[in-house]
Amino acid sequence: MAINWKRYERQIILPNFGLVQQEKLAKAKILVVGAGGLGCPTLLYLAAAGIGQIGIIDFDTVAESNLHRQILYTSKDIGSNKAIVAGEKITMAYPDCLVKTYAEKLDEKNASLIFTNYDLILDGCDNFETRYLIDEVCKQQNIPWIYASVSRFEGQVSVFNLPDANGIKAYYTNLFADKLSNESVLNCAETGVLGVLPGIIGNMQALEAIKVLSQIGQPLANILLTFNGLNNQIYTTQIV
Amino acid sequence: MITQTHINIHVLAFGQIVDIIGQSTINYQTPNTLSAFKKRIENDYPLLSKISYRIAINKKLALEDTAIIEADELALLPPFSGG
Repeated sequence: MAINWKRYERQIILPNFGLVQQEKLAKAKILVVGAGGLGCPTLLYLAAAGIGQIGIIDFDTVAESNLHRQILYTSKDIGSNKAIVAGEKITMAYPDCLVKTYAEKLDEKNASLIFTNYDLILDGCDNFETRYLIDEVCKQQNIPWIYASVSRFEGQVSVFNLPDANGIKAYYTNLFADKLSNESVLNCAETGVLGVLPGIIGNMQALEAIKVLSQIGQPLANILLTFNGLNNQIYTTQIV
Repeated sequence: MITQTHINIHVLAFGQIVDIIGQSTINYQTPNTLSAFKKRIENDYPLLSKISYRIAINKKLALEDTAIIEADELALLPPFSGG
C-alpha cells in the first residue's frame, strides 16, 4: 500500500520515525474493546495516525451522560449503538482506515474468533469480567494488549503480554490475581469522572499502541503507570 | 523477647484509598516487614481491609512478605474499572 506522504509528513519526518514505521501502522490491525470514554480518543487518534484496520466492539448505546467525555457522539446519536456510530464517524473522517464494527458484547464465545484477526487489542472497557477475558484470550493467542482505566481524576495504563527489556511479560492477573468483581470497585457512574481525563488516558493508550506497532521507544511493558490529573503526578511501578 | 524494629516510611495513596487515608501522601511509622505494615495500616484505616489493593515498594510491586527499611516508599494501588 502506497503511503500518502503529505498526510503523514509531520510524523514521517520525526527522528526515529519514518516511512518504515508509517508503513507498519498502515499494515496494523487493531481492535478497540469499548467505544466509550477511552475508546473515543484512541479511535480518533489511531485512525488519524494512519492505522490500516481498526475493529470496534461495543454492545452499548449512547446516553446523554456519556457526551461530556465520549467525544465521537452528539445528542443525535443518543440511543444508537456506539460501535456502529463510532465506525461511521471514523470511516467518514479517515476513509483510508478500514473499519469493522461488532455491535455485540465481548464474551467467551466470540472473543477468540474476533481476536485472531488483530495484532493488538486496546482495552477501553468498564468492567473486570471483560478485562480478565481480554487478558486470557490475548495470552492464549499471544497478542499484546494495552490496558487503561480511569477513576475520577486518575488513570492507569500498561502494556500486557509484551516482553520488557529483560524478556519478561506481565499480565493483568499479575496485577490483580483475585478475580475482581465490579461490585468491589466503584465505577464512573458511581464515582464520576472528569470528561477530559479519559481523553488524556486514552491518548496515552494510543501512544503506547503506536510505539508497540511501529517498534519505537519504550512501551509500558511490565510497567503500570498511574496519572493524577489534579496534581499532574505520574507514578510508575514494575509489575513482575 | 524479640523487639520489633519500627521505621519511618512514606506512603502514597491512589484512587479511593486517598479517601480512606484522607490524603495522597503520609509519613508513617511501621514495623519493618510488609505483613506487619499491612496489618498496622488496616488497623488504623479499617476500610482498607474491605477493598482490593496492591502494594509497591520503591516502585516495584511486592510479591510476598518482605523486609522494609527506613525511608522506603510504599504505594497503595487499587484497581480502577472506568472506561
